[in-house]
Amino acid sequence: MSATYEKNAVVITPAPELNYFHNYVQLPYDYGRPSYEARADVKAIKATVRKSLDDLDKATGWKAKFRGQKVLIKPNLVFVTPKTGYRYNYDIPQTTDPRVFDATMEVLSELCPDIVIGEGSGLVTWTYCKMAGYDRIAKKYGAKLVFFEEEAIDRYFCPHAECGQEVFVPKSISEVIRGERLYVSHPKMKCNIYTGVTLGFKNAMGTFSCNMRYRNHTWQIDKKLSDLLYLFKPDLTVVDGIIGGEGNTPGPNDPVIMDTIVTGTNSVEVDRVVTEMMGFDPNKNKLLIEAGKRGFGDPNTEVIGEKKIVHFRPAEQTLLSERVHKNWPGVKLYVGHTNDRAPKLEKLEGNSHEFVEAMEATCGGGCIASMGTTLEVMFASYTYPLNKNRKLNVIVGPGAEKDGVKYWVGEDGKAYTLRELEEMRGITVVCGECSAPAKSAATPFLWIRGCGEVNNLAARFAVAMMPTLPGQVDLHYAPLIVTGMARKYVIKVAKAALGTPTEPHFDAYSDRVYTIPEYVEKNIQEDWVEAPIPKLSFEDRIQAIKDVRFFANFMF
Amino acid sequence: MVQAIQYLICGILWMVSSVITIWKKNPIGIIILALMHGAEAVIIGVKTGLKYGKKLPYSIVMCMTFGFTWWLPLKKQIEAETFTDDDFIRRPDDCIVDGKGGLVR
Repeated sequence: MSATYEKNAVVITPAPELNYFHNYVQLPYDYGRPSYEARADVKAIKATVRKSLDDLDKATGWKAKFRGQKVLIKPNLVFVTPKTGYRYNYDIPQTTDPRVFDATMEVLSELCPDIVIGEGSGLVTWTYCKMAGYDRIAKKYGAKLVFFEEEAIDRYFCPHAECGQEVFVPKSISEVIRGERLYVSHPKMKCNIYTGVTLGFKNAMGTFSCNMRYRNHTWQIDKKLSDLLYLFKPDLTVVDGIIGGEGNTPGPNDPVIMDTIVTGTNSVEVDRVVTEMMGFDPNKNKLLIEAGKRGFGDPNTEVIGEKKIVHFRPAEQTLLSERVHKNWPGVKLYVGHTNDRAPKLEKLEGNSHEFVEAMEATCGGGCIASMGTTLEVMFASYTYPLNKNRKLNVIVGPGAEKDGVKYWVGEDGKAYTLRELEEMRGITVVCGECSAPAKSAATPFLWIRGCGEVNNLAARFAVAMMPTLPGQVDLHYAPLIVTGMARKYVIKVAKAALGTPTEPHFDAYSDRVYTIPEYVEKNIQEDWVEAPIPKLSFEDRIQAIKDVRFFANFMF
Repeated sequence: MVQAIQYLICGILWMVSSVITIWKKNPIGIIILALMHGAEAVIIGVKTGLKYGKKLPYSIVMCMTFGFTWWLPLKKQIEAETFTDDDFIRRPDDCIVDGKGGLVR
């Protein structure tokens, strides 16, 4: 069974004020040797993590629950980008600091004989683990390193979930769900363009395979991630707040000095505390609201330590921000939605900026955020000066209806018809499945299907920016990245052919509720039940191979 | 990538030297390469490899095959990641993001 605590606590532990800017993304060459252990930063981090976990143990007794148990620990890897990857002169703080992770592993390895380090970055996890040094950490502690996207999947049914009742997870996570393995979430303290912040329980997004990841990767993303808590939740959360990350993660973000480790037994409460420390109101964060609504928080949680508040630059889930206008003066947004969440279009001229913003925010966690991420990557790339003034019209949504005619509202407050959009100069991108009514306005190849599918979207944007190549270009690591892509693709195809697929069918074409009708009829009361995947026929295996979409898996 | 290209050039040099040795019965190319890489290995290459954490046989093979294209990047990384306590002292203007993709140091 997973660990249950009589009392939950969150411990905030300050680290000594040092310069932690050496090796916060990649471990140094001498990791594990006396010279590494003697470094002032390593000693300080180890002492801070140990103190935080010891204090948490005094408050909750977590160590007794973990002693002798099997554990799965999940860091948060997105891109692993040393400064050579972009035109910035600092490493990009998107990944759990491997020095902090090593310190946590040191404590856990004293308690637990069987540790699995598992991660699915959504990109090439094998490569990123090598780049960051997680393979060396696993070797040092005798832990097994698993890459979730390469594992065969199991299926579950969560009857209480609002939008993700059918869930596919890798086999290693099944062990956590069945209570055979405890789960430690080890995120980095950072903002996120989709969910505001990405911390303890949002880290579970990395357990999804590529096709599963994009289901409800829309305005429902907060519901989807909170639904996942019915299936499994962290037994321990350790937040790496030594150097935080502000801005539009998962695009390149900026480092923030925090000097803090936060640990806790209830991840929703840990996230609540850390969100506040980042200068945001946790009561306004949709992700935390959804998790709270489902009863996964604990209002009686004891908070130990002083909340050091540093105001992070927020992630901006919009293409209408000053930052986007300044960095990309040629990008113009036209947005129109007709749904319950959208404001009603009353006039064809002179709509206010707030009106356009409200229209855009209708599907904040989907295409808009994915485009924001992509533009942030392109802004950081070496080729940005060549692309800065590129004229790009972006159309989102099925159109807002007025008098039976569909309109898309521009930043100038004017509502445009499809005919007007078709006649616009420059390159036009039509983004998202719901935007199909406007696809005739798209430049060839630039109608982007799916909902918020970042890799597809980034690829099309790269085409829109041709002939330059915008994005992360790191020639030094290119061979390792290409090897990682090929490895991932071959493994996934081989497993699909053998009848143990790593991906469900790609069906993220709407914001519908993903469910299993025959299980709905059973009126199940538990939080979850196993819903075994039927044995695959020959035709199913061919389809499973096709579902390892070459483009999605080979892009990054 | 740069290193991969350098390795490729090294491989081509070895192949060309081998072909000349067999075809023209003239081993001068192979002798020059072996002497150069051997000298590098003895003087600095193997030492660098060992310091980086590579095993002795691996260091010898890589240094004899690729010469400085193998050991020089390792040496540069060792130099970049060798710190004193002074490097970890926080200074008032240290590590402040300047908003233009740079750190004020």
